[in-house]
Amino acid sequence: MVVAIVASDPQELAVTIAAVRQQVYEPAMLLVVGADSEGRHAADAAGAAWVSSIGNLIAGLDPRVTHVWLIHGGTVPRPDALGSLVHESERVEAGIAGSKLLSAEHPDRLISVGMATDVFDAPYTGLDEGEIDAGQYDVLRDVAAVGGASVLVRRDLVRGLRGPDPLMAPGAAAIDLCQRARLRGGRVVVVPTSEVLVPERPREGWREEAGQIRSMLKVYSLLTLVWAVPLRFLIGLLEAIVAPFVGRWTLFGWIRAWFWNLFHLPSTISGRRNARQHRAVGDTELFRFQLRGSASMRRLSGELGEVLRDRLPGDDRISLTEIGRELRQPAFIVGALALAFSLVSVRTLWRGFPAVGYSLPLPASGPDLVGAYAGAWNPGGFGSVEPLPPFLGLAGVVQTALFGNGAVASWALIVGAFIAGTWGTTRLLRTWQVEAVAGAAAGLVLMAGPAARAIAADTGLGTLVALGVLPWALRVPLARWPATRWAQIGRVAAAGWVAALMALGAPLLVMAPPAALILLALITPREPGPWRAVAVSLAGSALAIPVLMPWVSTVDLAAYVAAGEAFWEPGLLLAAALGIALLFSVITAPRRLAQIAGWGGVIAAAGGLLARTGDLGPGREVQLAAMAIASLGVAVVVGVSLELISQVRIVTGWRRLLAGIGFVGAAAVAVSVVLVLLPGRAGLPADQLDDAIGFTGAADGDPHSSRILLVGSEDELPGESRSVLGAPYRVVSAPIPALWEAWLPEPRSSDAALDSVLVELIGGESFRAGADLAAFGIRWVIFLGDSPLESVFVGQLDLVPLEGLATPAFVSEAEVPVRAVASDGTAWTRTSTGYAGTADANARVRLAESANSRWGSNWEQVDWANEVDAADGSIEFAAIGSRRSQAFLAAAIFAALVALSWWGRRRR
Amino acid sequence: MRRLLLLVVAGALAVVAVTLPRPEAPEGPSFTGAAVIDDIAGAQGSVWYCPWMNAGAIRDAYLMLGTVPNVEVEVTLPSPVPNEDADRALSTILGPGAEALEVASIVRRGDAPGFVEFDDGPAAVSAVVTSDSIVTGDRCVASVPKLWHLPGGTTRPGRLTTLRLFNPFPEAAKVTVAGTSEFGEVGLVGLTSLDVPGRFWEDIDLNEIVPLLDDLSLTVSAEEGLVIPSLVVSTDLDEASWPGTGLSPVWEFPVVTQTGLVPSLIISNPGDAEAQIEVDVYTSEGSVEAVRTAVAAPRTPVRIEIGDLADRFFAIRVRASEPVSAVVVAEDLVQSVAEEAQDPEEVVAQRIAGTVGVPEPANRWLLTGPGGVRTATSTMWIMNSGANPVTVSILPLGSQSGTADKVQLEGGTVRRVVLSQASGVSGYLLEAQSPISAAWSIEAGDGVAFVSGISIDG
Repeated sequence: MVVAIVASDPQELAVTIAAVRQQVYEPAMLLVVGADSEGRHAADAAGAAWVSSIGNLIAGLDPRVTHVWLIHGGTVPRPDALGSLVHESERVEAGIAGSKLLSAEHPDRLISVGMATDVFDAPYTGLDEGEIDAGQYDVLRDVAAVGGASVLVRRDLVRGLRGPDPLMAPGAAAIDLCQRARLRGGRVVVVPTSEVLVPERPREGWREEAGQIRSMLKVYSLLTLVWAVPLRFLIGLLEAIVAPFVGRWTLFGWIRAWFWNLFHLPSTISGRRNARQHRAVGDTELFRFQLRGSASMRRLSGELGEVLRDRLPGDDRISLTEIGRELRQPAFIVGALALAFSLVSVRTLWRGFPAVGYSLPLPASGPDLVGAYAGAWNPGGFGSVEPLPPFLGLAGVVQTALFGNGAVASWALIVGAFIAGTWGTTRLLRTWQVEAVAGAAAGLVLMAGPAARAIAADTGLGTLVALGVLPWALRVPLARWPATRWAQIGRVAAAGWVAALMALGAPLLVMAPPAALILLALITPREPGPWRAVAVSLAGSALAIPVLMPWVSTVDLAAYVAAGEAFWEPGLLLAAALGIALLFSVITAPRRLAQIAGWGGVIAAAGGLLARTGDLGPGREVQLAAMAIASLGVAVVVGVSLELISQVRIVTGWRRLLAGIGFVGAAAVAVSVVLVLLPGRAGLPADQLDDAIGFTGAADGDPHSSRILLVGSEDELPGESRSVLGAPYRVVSAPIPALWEAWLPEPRSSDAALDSVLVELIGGESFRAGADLAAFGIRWVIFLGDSPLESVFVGQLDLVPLEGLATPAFVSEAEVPVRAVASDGTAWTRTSTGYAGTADANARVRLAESANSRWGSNWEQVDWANEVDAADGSIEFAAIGSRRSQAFLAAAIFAALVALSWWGRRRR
Repeated sequence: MRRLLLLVVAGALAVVAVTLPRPEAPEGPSFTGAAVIDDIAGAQGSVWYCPWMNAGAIRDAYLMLGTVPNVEVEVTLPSPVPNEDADRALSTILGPGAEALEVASIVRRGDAPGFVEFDDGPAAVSAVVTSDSIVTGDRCVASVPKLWHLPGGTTRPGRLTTLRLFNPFPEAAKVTVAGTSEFGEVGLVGLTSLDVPGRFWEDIDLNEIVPLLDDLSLTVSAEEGLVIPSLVVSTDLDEASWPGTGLSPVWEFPVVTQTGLVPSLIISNPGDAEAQIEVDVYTSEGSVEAVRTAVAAPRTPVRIEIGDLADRFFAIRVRASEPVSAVVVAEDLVQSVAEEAQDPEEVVAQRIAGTVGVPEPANRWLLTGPGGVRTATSTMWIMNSGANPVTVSILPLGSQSGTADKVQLEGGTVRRVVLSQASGVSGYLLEAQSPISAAWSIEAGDGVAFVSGISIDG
């Protein structure tokens, strides 16, 4: 018998060594394992031997040794603990035997008496918190795993298993050891008569989770892993979303656990080979002692139920007073309701963004979208090297992180914005002691109020996402200034990455937080916080600018700001309701809240003003950003107005009456958020394009390789449009354009050529529009509404009208109306970002894309299009290296800001 | 105080926001596209639609092609069998040149309406149909308006009037045919929202629907799609056909008669106000204005007999106070031997010809077809409605280039040029310093036809 004390803290060794020496059953050898030189010194001082690792221990085991007792440093086994373990282990022929673990601080409290796990190797002790040991579990039994603090392992087994996994946290390592032992046919039992006192330590959350994932990967068959690993991933994600409501923050731990496993994947594969090489049983045996469902979810639901029970008044306490009290402190209920509202409001986005206006489905590939943002081909219209808006880069990253699933990425972006916006507004208003109910209601107004609905109705996807971050961009600078230098640096970094995240959605909004905070500082000159917040916000906005590369370094800002027309027409009734709420909250509120309400009112009015300045030059992006600013102002006013009614001791008498009137106004604005609930699209309009042009996907041949000429009014056309002699139109990919086509680059020779063809058709100089448009890869002409161009396309000899559609549609009779045609007349297939066809060293391919020399080998410009060799069988656009480098740099800056803020937060 | 200031600032911003004007939206354009009736030969590619063609066992049809520059020509003759590909023919004409393309060389299946595409211009087409007894034809049309006017029909005894609705486009058309007669508006049963399938044609026998009308003017309006109509009036022996026209306050008819034919001018006024009509006559000696006057009541066609305006050949100009449509129909009126004993006044027609006018004189004209039918005699008609003399250069067009002749016309005169049967000539290019009008006529066997000239843009 060898006793191995696994040391983590050398200071704790003495008490354990002393306890081991008092064992009735005397071990042949006592060893201290690990803890480097400190461990060796401690072992020397105690007169014990020392080995550097479990591996060395196993390698040097005397053949006469029958068992190894692994105990953690700091534990105190009772004198008969080892004897019981040895006796019972041999009696039942167990491979591994574990002790009953009791709290060292409170020896009557149970820590573990063996444990079950779920299929994800998360432990489940079955004990209540602080459960007293009354001998209720004192029966020897088989278990899935035993606590790692005191484990007796048969010598041959420990050699075969190579001991506990040194990379794992203790809890996960014990589970892993037991799983591997059982895989080899060994019994794992808990021996309650062997009692060990263990110090209660906080669990190393993410390391334990990482170890559990690694353990799964090592022991299960591939068939099990196929479903268990994705499920574990999703459960972790769900826990990360819900756990904050019970006071736990698991998101970063979850991310770190998975990245840790990714990093250690090679060693996991090696460990898996060893674990499964001599297995005696299958997964069924491992499932035998496992829970149904997820232990994490079981724990979470228990915590949620507990919080809910705490929050709900008893039957005998239902009274207005009690409800009032609950309304003032219902963080969980309000949070749950806000979460539910968010989920219901965006439920239909599971299918992706609706195809209408500037809202189009994400492309099939997330990496391709990121690539297109980072210097590859911009496929809008006939294509260009102009950079895509930064929101597309953000969307591409999210889509890539979600395994390329565009629909889930669409949902995640919007639901994330809703939750972040609601939560952020609550946190922002808490700065001025606005409580949870009013704060959450204000948050919902921010994301689904009149201005937010206008943003959504205008299909400002990026602005909608940025709106969710906007309150955080104010909250972070306004939060209490930390004391330490690192924490201060971290705060500025946090302001930077939050501002960057917001700017990725709506670049113009990057100026909004500093401006709003300057206004706040002017309104509240006696408070020192806002001016510091201004400085932090300004620094954050400055740090956000480089994150917008490569877009920010190449965009024509003047054109970007002026594109479209800014003119928002808010509903008069809700505007009046907001005015009432503002008026009476400013009049009746205590000084500080009145200032905040006034601040919100000025922000809302300024946003509204800016959103209507189209006649002076600003365009659509300015309008969207201005509406986001207005939405923030409206949310602040509503939050303060709703809060006032609960301040029964401060707002009294005639003030309370007026505050009530203001409350009614604010409530009217707040109630209007239900308008987004029923459609479930976060306020976005219903899909229009799919009904009108989706049928092209069912056309014969390869419809994906052709384009559609869409005609209608500017409002009816997706994204930006061009016009010929004043009649709007635009060209999109069939069958449904992706989001990266919503924005059109500056007109090029390709656009001029199409314009010329359309002018000829309008002038009656050509009657074969099908053939004329085929050169542009256009196979269909589809009207989305009334257009003067309809009379032009009716009298064409080679455009066949399509019956049974709501609006006129024509299909070309031209031979190959596709985007890429080889010199022998065969059509090439369009891939996500390029083209593919039959490789032919002697053939050339004409690409109906705007001419650019990066399109392939032996490139030649033919009119406005490209001609390249067909030798490779595929044609791809060579990305612009400098832009790609800028994109990498931007990502690195963003990551550095996040890391700095995290580090600073830890140093706070 | 600060509260008040905040409220004032917020209120002031809101007031300014309310007063900001909405950016003015540009007014939407209106494209007529090919909807204006403007059948002139422009300096670009063009399509000409020829509804009334027939090439079978009895009849032969000719597409009379003429061009100024070198052109690639594609002739398309849709099949009457649904979903069957159209018959096509490709050709190249060196310009300036002309070619008489026999439809039977492409397909011989009876009715064969079709269209001709030129890749450059000026170029134009006329269509002529012949048989042992008939000659009919007129210029083809390049415009495809939604509304056509077709005056000159009749369903009186001895006449058969047929309306052909040719839809050369892929899209099915839905058209409504309305008619007016000497009795005012007439009900045309079954001709409301009439379907004309794409790349197909419909012939409507108007004698069955509205018999015994001396004058029948039609309008064809397309509710969906487009059609190209042609009105055909036939006697027992001959046949006349002309395309739809637009409306104009002035119409010039360089050709109105041929030896033995008695011409009539039929005017239709689709407007709501009466139109005062004046007919000017042009002979080789000079002109007389307002030699005939009439009133065209709204939606009632008026027939003006003009056979007695001059002794021999003449041309006319019609001036109206309101836009009207007009055609000239010339008939060969002879007494019926069989009925002479019973009613000496009764006469029957042998030959018949008809044509549309030209709304505006021009400096250059393409006459496509004269000389193209070897068995027929062609005559050119040139009218100078201006006051000053004009010298006209006449260039024969065909497979061989010819040399231009020159003729001089005094102001207010018409010149009739009987064309020789020159080998290889199938058309003429006329050029003058001052605007003129031109047409041609063709005579073969018992048939005669008038064909309007096609002016060249610019």
